[in-house]
Amino acid sequence: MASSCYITFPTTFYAIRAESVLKSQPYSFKMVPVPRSISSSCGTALRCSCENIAVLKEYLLQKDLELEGFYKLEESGLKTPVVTALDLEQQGINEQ
Amino acid sequence: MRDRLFIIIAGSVVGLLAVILVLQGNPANMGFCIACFIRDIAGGLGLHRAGVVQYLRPEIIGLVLGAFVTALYVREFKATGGSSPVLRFALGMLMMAGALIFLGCPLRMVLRMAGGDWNAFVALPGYVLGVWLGTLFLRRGFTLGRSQEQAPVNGYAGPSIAVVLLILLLAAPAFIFFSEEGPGSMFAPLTLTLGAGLIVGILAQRTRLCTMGAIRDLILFKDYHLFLGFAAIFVVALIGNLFTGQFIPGFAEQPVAHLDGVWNFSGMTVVGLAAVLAGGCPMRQLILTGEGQSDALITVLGMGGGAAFMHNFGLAGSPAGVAPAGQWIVIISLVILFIIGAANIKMPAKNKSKERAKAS
Repeated sequence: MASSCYITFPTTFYAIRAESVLKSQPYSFKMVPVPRSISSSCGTALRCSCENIAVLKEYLLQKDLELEGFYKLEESGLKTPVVTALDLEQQGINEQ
Repeated sequence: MRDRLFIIIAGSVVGLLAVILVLQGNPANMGFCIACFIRDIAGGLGLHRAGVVQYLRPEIIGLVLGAFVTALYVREFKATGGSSPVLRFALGMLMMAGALIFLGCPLRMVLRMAGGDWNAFVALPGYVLGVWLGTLFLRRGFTLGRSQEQAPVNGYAGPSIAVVLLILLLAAPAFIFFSEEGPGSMFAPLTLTLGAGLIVGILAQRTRLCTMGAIRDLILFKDYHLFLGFAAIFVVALIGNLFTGQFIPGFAEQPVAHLDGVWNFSGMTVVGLAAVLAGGCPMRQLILTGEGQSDALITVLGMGGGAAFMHNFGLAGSPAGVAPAGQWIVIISLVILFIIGAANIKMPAKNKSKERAKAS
């Protein structure tokens, strides 16, 4: 089962800003449409490894970006993906 | 993988239903045309008096109600709105203006391409150009602002309007207009058109099928997920048209179309740019309306207003071409879109930080 983590944004503006400010940073990430299992909205999300999501969140907040949500998505072929909302307020990643 | 399979299925079903609807009575290459059908509804309600395009199209009613019922069932119905409603109304009007110059929304553009109408192949790069221009605004920080959660009644407004339209269609009171000739008089049986709308509404709600998002995501993020749905509509409609003898290649004498390449191209540029700024193509606006977004409903109402404006003032294209006044509308629409785009560019975060530092 493949898993990755996602940061969602309130508007496309913030998604594009996130891509722009992270370009010069050493983090590995990709901008993608928000996975359908996370939201029915047609926004853009940042996909990253789950090890990096807390660091990315802190960095983006420092850059004055508004973030909407944090998710872990586990996919396995044609089965329904398992989505877990993440609580990044505490140290490390706690699944809600 | 799963999401990709679903969007290909959704696009294929839209393409197939479009072919069937034409076989059963809809105008040629117009199995689905969101702009044309909203224009027909505006005419049916008497908002314009173009006698050949007046009918309360059940496909539109089905799309909204299909998305509404699905969103309720999967608990994704949420009343939201309040994001620049006046500008969204204007964007809906402009989106309709561009579509009525070309004679079709982006969905009908794909269906016209699949029917062998080469004029639609001229319009496609215009649409891509419009979406690309829109992404330039997005990259520079364009936003209409955040939607807020609203009282549920706001979300129920769109589906309620759809139900009222359905009642009016069934009751057919004297004050509702029904075309006796022209495209408005051509329609498949009610059960089929309503059923097709419901099915596409359900599928589009589940997959977020969007003809603008398909191009936008390719340009912005090189992501082809939504484009798979766009391509599936074309491929299946093309195969269906070939098998049923509805593929008639050429520029001339295409149904509900004109030969004016410049205005086919630029009309769809207007639609593409307006759709990016409004956050979705005409079909997507209907789906979002069904999900409870009053911002999308306002855009749809703007489209209805735009249809009335275009036909009442004789600005819409016709098989004879685009009148000079209609050509001016394209230019004026592009100017207004650039003003809306530029006026809503939000200050980049880094500059905001600098300003704060200066202020302190």
